[in-house]
Amino acid sequence: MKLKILAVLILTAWAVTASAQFPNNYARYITYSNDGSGNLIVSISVSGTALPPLPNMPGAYHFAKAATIWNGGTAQWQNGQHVCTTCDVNFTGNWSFNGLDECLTDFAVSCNLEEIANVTCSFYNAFWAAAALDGAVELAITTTQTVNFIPPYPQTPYCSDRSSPPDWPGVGGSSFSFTSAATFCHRSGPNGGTGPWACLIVNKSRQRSAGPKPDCTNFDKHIGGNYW
Amino acid sequence: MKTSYRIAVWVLALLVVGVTAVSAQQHQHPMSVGAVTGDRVPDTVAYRLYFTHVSQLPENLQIDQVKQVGLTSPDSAILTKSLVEFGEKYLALATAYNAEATVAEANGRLPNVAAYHTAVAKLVDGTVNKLFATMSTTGVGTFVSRVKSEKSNMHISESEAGQ
Repeated sequence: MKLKILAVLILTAWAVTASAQFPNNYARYITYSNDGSGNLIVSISVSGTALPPLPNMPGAYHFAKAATIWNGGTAQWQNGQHVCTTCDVNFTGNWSFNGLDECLTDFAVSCNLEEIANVTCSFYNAFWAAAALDGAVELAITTTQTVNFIPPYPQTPYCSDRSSPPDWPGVGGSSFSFTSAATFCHRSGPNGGTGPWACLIVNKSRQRSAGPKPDCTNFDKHIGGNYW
Repeated sequence: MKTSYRIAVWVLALLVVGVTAVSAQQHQHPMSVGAVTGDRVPDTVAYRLYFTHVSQLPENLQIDQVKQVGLTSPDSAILTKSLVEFGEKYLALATAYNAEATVAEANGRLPNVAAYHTAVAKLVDGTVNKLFATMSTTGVGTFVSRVKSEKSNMHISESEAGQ
């Protein structure tokens, strides 16, 4: 009888220990880049380790998964390598958005981007997930103009009422000109973001030599034609 | 004899039930969420994520990320070199740890994850210190500001934020 009680106690202690939450340091980091060809690239990395209790289940493995969802469409998933349950999952995926024209030609289209990332167990399912990126992303067309003839030719916003992200301030320029470009802007924080907008020129950058200031009237009303 | 036999059967049965329960429970991963972001991400963790992530980007994206920091050309070159060196060393550490962990698991042991975390932390510290020692003062300030602002794009678990 004593032997039975002892066995039950040992097994109970073992089970309780095993069911505790595993320590982990999983993390997700997202960056936005211009690939040099005018495309927006969203890069999502998931890295870290977990320490599940022993004995492990033979054949079990972990892997990171991440996806981007453009304008509420289908999630584009990418999976990391399958690694052992105590291994470092270390995954980075890149998503190219070269089809941004839809947002640039039809301003009735609401452009938004959602990012998902998790770590999945082959014997269970996703057991770690990054919280939704709290904030906002938007596309905007901005026009900037140079303000003087002294290098590095700082640029300032010109046509300003295109959309809610402020016109991208631009970074220098090789000539005094007007630049019109699609910019991808994002900011973080609750309720659509409270932080500063961070913007990248992603497509359709055009420059014009010095001359009369561009007429923003048609540009801002999104009427086609040459608005230079 | 009969009593001993019955006890042995009971113990065996309990053992089988217990092992099954433990195996099932250990894979009923309690869901955890990486919800900590922004200022709550410790600097050391932010540097680790920045170096780990940017060092593994394709070259053209890495160039753009370095450009986004807003450094002078000499400081940009220093950062790029540091990223390349960090990336090589980090991948070597991760590969070695994963090999150790795979063997440990196959033999019913746990790997020394604390030693791995310490080695990665040491690599991050060394990279940061070297950057700070070689970049211009303005460059250091610009880089620190960049990593701090990037915390809003990082999500970590509560347990790591509490360190």
